[in-house]
Amino acid sequence: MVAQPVQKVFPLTLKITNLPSSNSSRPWRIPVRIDCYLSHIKMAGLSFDNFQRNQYIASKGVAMPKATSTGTTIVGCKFNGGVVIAADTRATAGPIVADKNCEKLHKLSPKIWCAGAGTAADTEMVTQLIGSNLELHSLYTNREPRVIASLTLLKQHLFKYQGHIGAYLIVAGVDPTGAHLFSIHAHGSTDVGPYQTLGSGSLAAMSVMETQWKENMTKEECIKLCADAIEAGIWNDLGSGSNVDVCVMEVGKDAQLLRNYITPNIREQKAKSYKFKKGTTAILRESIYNLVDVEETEIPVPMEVDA
Amino acid sequence: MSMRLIPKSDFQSEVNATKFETSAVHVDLPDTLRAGKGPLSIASQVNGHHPLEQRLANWEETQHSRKLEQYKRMFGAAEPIRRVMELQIVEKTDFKPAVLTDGSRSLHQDVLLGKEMSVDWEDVYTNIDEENPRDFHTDLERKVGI
Repeated sequence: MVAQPVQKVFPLTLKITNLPSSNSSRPWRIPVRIDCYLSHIKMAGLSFDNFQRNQYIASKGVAMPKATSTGTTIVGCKFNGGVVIAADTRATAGPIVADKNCEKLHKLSPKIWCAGAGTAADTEMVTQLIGSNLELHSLYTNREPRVIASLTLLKQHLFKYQGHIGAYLIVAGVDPTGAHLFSIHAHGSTDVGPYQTLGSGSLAAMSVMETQWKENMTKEECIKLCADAIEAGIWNDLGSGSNVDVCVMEVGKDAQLLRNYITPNIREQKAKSYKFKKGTTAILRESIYNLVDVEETEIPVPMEVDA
Repeated sequence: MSMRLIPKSDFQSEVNATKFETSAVHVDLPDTLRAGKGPLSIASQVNGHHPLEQRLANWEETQHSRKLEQYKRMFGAAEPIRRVMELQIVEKTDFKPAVLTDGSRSLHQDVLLGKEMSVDWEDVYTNIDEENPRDFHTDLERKVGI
């Protein structure tokens, strides 16, 4: 999972003074209010206001934030009477681990959950939006939301945005028609199957699934298999790490989120305590200013009279 | 109307002066004084856009016109005519000046478009320019055609 870099906000009217020039013999021409065309057309929805400006700035040699590849392991597996999804908890920004214990399992509805790989913000926001739509739909029809409905809403939304919303999802859940498991790629294509893996650790996880999966597993076997597959990703994929999160959805029962189901990477206790004791640094001088004068006066409270 | 699922690319072989700006009510000229934003470069409007932008701009329109075409084929011309008429009655009769709204559709429009039970980015990020909203007088002039 990729944490999105914080974009630098440039002032709208640029004063270009010391940027590296490709042709140093030519003096810099300061553009006359390049923002003059930005705000004429404002479109509802996601904003493209700064696209031309960013291209212009990039053409002047300013490094733009780059999108990096997926670093995550997520899996899903069906068992007799339910379905399990699991994820690791590492979020990366390039070579840096941005979050050691992030949550990649998102709730679409009480009994439909979704594991997300790709751009962290996109998986988060797209599942929130589709979750809201599912709730509105279930209120409108007065029925429990179905997994296939959430799949269709998600894939149609992602297809509309042509992969620019970088959400790779494993959708699983139970509804009146039984337990279901699907996977969705950012461009809107979907898969159906008894087990699914996604993310950069998907190959490690899939090797576990392919060797150990069998038909008609019990709930405990399935949780073990999913956790093992995630651990394969944690150990063998650099983009995945830390802990294993699991969510179990069983027909006729509430979904059960097992946050940090396995924690194989607990930080070791340090040999010594390196905290300084209170009073280690001597106080040379101390002066306290009274910023306000506090005056206390007693206000007599009127006696309570019974009505 | 067509059965298109996806908006077609909108390559423009010609544009006029008021294509990208609000025009004055009577003449087809940019209302530069009222917009208060200085001259507009038409080249910047035509070139160098994000590939998604046009697709999203015309998305709802394309879906709506496909639905109307399907109604026509299934129920005859009367069905889309009635639906468009109803929508136009709602659009023409409720007057909401920009200063008083958040730019979202009215409930009646939502019902007629079949969107009263869904939410999308367009409902969260509306097309109202929050920094400089259009003033009430402009809206009223436009409404009554002064």
